[in-house]
Amino acid sequence: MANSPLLEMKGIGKRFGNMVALQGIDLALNGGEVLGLVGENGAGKSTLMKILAGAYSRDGGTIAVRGKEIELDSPKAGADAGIAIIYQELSLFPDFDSAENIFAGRELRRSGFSLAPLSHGQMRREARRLLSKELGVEVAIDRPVRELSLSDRQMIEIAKALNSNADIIIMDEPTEALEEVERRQLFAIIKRLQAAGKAIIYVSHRIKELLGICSRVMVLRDGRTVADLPVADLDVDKVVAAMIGGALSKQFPPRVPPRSDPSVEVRGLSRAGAFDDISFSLAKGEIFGIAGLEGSGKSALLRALFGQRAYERGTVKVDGKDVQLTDITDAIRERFAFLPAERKVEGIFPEHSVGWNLSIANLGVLGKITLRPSKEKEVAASYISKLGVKCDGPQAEISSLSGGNQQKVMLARWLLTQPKVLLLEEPTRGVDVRAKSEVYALVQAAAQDGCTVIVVSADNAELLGLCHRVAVMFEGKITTVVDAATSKEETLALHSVRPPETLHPVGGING
Amino acid sequence: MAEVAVTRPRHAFKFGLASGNAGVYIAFVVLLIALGLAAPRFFTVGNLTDVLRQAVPIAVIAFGATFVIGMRGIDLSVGSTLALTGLVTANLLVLGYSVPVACLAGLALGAFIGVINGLLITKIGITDFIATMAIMVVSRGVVMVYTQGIPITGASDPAFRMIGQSYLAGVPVPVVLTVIVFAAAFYLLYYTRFGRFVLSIGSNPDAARLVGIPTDKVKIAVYVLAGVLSAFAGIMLTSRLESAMPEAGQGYELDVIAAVVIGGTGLSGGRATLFGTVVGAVLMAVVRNGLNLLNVNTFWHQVVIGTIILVAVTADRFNRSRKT
Repeated sequence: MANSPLLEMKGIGKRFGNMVALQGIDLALNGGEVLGLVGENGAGKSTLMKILAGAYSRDGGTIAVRGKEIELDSPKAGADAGIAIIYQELSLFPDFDSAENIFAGRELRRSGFSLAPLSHGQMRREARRLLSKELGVEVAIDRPVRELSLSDRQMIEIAKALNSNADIIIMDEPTEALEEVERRQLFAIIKRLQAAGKAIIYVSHRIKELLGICSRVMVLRDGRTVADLPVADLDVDKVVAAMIGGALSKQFPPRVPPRSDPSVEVRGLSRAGAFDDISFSLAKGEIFGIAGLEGSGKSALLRALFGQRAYERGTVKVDGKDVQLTDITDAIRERFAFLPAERKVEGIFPEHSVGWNLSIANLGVLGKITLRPSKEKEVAASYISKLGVKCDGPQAEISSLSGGNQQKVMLARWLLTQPKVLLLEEPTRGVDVRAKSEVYALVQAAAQDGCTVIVVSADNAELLGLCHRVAVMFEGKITTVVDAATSKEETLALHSVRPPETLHPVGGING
Repeated sequence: MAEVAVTRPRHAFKFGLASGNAGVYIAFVVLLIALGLAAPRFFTVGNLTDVLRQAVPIAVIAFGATFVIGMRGIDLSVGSTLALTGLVTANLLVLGYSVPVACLAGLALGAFIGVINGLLITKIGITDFIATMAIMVVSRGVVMVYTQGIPITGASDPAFRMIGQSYLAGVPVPVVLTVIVFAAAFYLLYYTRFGRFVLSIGSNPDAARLVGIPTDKVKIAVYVLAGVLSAFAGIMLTSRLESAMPEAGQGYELDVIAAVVIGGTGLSGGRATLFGTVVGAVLMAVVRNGLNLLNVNTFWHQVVIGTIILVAVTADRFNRSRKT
């Protein structure tokens, strides 16, 4: 035990049918190490982690924990070996409170007798200790977790992993849905876990972030390890180059100045409890970003502009004309388009083909009364090639596409309606590096055609790289509008947590 | 993640046909051959006509139910709607109203019940199962109160009898009408905006709302369609019997759901196969008929039908797990 690493995987292989998903992967991990695992979608990261968690069986190779070889044939075996995995889609019971979730499957009883009543008080006390002492976070213990924020839920997942005495904690895209502050909190916790001798495998697309917290980074490509280096030898470009097997052209397309004619004018938009007195005017071809924390009102504002939950006061003008946006039909009639963040939940129709998904928002193009399948194929095929969607043609099932390609189909769905205003909510969440830059290019192409774009994102780098101007929302108000080209991420992050009036005048771009 | 595309169970069956449950088509053919061998009388024109005639009411209602279930809904009120609308039509005829008036009144009543179902579900927010179950019980109750459990007889207007009893080129008119309804439903479901809206709501209601589909209106319209088709079945049945039976259509709601599900339309919505529904409805009639020909005790029929449902749904699960 003395010299063997905490975890050692050797020669791991996995095939799905004819497809080789993993081949000859070696992975060694010591206590107190944070290993970053990166790769494009489909590179095999998730497969590897699922094998480690016991969710998939492997076709070859050995896994040893503390020098002892183990069979990992079920998630239970993984948990017994001290391996905990925190999936991207959090897997808590939404109606249970945090204590019940932390102890799910290992409930404490008042005595050893297996029918003895549960000891709720003891579980609550223990849950509180784990959360506040070990993780140093304040999370409501007795509320159903569906009422808690995403980051609170993630803390509960981590507490659950600690409670199961896991030594190896796998985090799959843990920050994808988190705000800046919450992300920092998570990093602090990872440091704590590291100090406590836990080994962490951190899977993420956010390479910059990863380099800040990992001690080592392993890069997978097409099911093989292409790099496994200490973080000191790496930078973002090197990691990206290893991931895609070559240098990436610039992530953000060069900015094209907006046109001079005004397009959208928002005046005094308010809805109680969500956003307050929001005003801005945008030109045709302008890409306007909105930064802010979860709950700052940025998404509520965006969705109000799409008529999903209408605003109560204020006016919206499009091309100088007053428009009413009381429901979604109104917004679509005014040629607004909206790309929701939760693609799976609010975007795709999973049972249907690419062509179906692409045409659903504008069926008029398939025929006035009778929808013609040939037309659907034709329209879809043209957008598939125009947007570079990787799929087996218009008939391919949407669910067979990668996240990035699904997102392109979602974009195509709305481009087909020739929108005047494109509202994007987290346009690249869960999308890999290469597809991200393709999405950015498409958004910019739409802007260049005169479409006004409003982007809400938790990724400040994305907002600054893609937009012309970025507004920061804080507690329902726009507190700052900065010029994207000359601003820094830190400025947006800072203004997201502290209204800038107390720091410097509105429009300040110091950072 | 792209890995999703390849995480398929190894033993997934692929039946090949894109829509519906190809397994049931195969099972159907096997069943026909087996019955032909076991009961020579099965393949006589008279018997086959009987089978189709029995399948007609279930099939017509099941076309509507295919929309409802494809929309991830459920409608338990169809059997009672059939009885109530049949009763109204018969009663108006007995009172001397003309055939078109009596039939239109029946259809309008079916539509009205559909509107009620739709409003309860969309505007009041009652679960479809509960709302339509309540309407099922209420409608049946109204029938019983009105008839006191005694059939309304004497709906024997010759023009009315034509609907359920005459033949067109040797084919029973109800069968012809069912084929016409099928064609219309097929067009509506697969070739119109409305059909896409229905399946979109079934596939992902939130996304449907966000692409501008007026989901409440579409839902109400689908329940209206289900109500009208139930009424249509009720009129055909009344015409065949020249009377309205108070207990007509009892248990049809389950037969209809069975036909739809056997055909391959899953209760999870989003996908629907009208061809499958036809096969499902005819298959159930064939099984009942075959068991009769083979002199199997009627109590066994339910056991057999239930088993068929299980087999069909199991095959469908294997078929579908390949895709998700």
